[in-house]
Amino acid sequence: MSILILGGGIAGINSAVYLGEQGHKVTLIEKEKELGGKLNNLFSVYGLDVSPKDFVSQQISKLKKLSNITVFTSAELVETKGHVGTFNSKLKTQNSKLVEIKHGAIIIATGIDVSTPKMSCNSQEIINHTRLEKGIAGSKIRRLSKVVFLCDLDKEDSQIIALSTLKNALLLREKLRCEVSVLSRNIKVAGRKFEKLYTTAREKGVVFSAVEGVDIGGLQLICDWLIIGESILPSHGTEDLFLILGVERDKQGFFQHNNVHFMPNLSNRKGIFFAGACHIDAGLNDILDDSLTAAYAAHNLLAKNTIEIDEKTAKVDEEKCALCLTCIRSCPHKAIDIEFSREAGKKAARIIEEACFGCGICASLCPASAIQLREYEDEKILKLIG
Amino acid sequence: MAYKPNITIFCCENSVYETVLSVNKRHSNIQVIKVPCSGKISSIHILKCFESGKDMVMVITCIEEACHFINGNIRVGKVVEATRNRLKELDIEDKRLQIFNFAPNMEEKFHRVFKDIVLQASELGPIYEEGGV
Amino acid sequence: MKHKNVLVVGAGIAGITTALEIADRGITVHLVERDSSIGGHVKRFCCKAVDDVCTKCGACLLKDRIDRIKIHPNIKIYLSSNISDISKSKDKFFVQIKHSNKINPVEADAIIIATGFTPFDATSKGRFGYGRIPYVFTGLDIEEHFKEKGKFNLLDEIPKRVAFIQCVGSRDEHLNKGYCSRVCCRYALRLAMMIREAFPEVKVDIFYMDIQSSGKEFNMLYDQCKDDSKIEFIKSIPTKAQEIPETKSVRVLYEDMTETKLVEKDYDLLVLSIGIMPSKDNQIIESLFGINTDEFGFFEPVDNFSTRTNVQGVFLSGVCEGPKSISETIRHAEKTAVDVMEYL
Repeated sequence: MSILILGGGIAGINSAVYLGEQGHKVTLIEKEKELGGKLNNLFSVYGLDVSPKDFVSQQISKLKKLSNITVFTSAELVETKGHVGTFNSKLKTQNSKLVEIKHGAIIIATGIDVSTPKMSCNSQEIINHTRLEKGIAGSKIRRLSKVVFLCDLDKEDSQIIALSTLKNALLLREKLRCEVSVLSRNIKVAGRKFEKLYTTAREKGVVFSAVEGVDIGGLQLICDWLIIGESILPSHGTEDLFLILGVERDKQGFFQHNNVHFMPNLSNRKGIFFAGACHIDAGLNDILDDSLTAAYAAHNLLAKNTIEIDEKTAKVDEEKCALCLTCIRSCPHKAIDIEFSREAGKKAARIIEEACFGCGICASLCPASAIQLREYEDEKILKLIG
Repeated sequence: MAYKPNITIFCCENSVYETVLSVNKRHSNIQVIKVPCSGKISSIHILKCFESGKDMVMVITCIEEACHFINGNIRVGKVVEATRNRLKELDIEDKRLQIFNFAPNMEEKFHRVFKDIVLQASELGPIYEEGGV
Repeated sequence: MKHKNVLVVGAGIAGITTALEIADRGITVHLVERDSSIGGHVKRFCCKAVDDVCTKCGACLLKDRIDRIKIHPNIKIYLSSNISDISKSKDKFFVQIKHSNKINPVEADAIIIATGFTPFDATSKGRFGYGRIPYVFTGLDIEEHFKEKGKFNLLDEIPKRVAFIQCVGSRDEHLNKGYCSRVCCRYALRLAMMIREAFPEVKVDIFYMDIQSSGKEFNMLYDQCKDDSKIEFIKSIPTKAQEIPETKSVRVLYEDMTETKLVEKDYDLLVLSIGIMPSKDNQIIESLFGINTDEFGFFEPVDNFSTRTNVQGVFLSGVCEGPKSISETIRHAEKTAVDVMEYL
């Protein structure tokens, strides 16, 4: 059984490489023309010895060397039918061709998008982190320039931006002898060796000032560059994915609802996993760990080439089914389909056993009591009650 | 003879199930019914309890946003509310049906709440008078 | 593949998670724990739900894993045991597991260190009066108390003013603890909300350097605290705390950063948000196995993205490698299992 990976950023690529190396057939689709995602836009990453571009290239060459991995760029997922072990998806590739893929599992690794708050302020050169990285790479930032980082504007910066702030503040100070100031509400140092980065930046002369809310309109800053942190958003175009795949999201719109029992990579559906920034806000090493644990979960699921079925699944008595669709609408795991039942001679709800988690919600809500949960049948419970 | 209320506890196996079981072992008037998810519980199960002479029904579900099946605890909340309305229609005190959210490591809190439930059940008295309703 | 054996040192959440992942793949796991029971520190943590809503602390995740590990056919647990000797020959490790006077020799193809952490000893920060002043507790004390009692019953009377001091034993150059313990802001905010729920009239002051608000949706919890008019965030770390026996309170002295003046404030309860220190066993493990540690005593992987150590066949799982929350530990422990499976 093969695996479909949505997203060709570093998380998707990493997952694909691991699964390919385990011998699985993998299809990876990326909506942009190039693989690499947001990591390609960065000049450097704290803790990474090579440039992000080189790191991405290294991973992509590993990917290309594996003959069992097929990559589609400028492609997107249009439809997914079926369930764990028997997914059937349609992809729209370049030239609007439709490709059909059969696969056993899905890893969603669609990453993030960024949006920069709009602001105008007194003829400063205001740029975001993405442009800063480009600027550093293209030697656009002159030595000895005055740089101010404005952080935590209307809400706390994400980990990614907070780390980028520290890393770049030090870089500009050390390499380009810039006068660097960081204005923020809270310095984020909760990560591997982040505190060290912060202390080093201070030792080298980066000025950190605590500010409690900034009125950008009334701001008078004398500097050459004003750096504003982007807001991190779910990757655009993924709104459709929630519906196509029937997966839950959290309150901020990112993949994976916030529930401890589903961490690190599980979704509400068997066989669908999340990897990378599309569902967590973390630095590169956590993203890489996450992509590996997601791939491992998919690998274990399909390793025996069969899907294990839990004993305690639900079953529909098709004769009683009135096709009210209550069960389909209420199943948190999208494990119920409508199929024609030969025995009952009509269309009825059918519980897909391999996708069923055995919660019994469908059984309790069925107005016709047509669904029973194995080992927890109504008769059994009522008898127990007495 | 001191009145010992008959209590049925529906307990989700992902909640404080083991702690609830330990209570069941000590008291014969306490019945525990395990469910894989509290979302499995329907009105008919609860009403059958009262019909068969149980004086109190406790529904134990997981805390919000921690249901292994995402929203089973929300669903059972609605079932309990609807059933309480039904009890009112039947002239049965709706206080005889109560729902609680416990995480599996909330053993102490369960013991305290349970003590209070037994007290409440004793105060409410038997659901049916001697000789039936 | 020949039958393989793996040794896991430490049966906290990390050790248990890695052990289960590896044992599920048919490999025999020898799990060594120095305490008389498994579960590490997490077994002493309470559920930090507020208003019956989960705050994602992850403490409840331990129980299922312990249930599974106790009956797992491929896992052998050694309680009240430690490693007394180790040698390596070719690709195999020969380990001696000591339990009172008995020695169990075990062969392992790979070793996972999951020795966790030691909570910072708040008495080292004498100025806050922990151990001297009766109304001063650590975050861990509060957790354990709540887990045991199911409610806040630390003081004779209902507290009216509570203070939290963050970064006790973390981000502290003087104590050679120049790192962030990562979990204290999160647990402090959760505990603060729990205290607010338990005592609706209580006022809570949180003394902090920088609030670490990372984690899925954690910002929303932080916002909830900021919106609570009875919770105040004070960007200043107090210089000392002294007992005021007459009013049964503790007086906290701090510098108000905005008005640059010294302020004294009295509280009925002071909670020190203590940090994560490398486990006291790390030094023993370090000398036994020859694993590198960083300047703070945490074990050092070969690079920032690995769980491997400088010793071939030895891996790191969980907080022994650096502070992490429970969810982050589980992810790391699973990643370690993946790395170990690749190695074997």
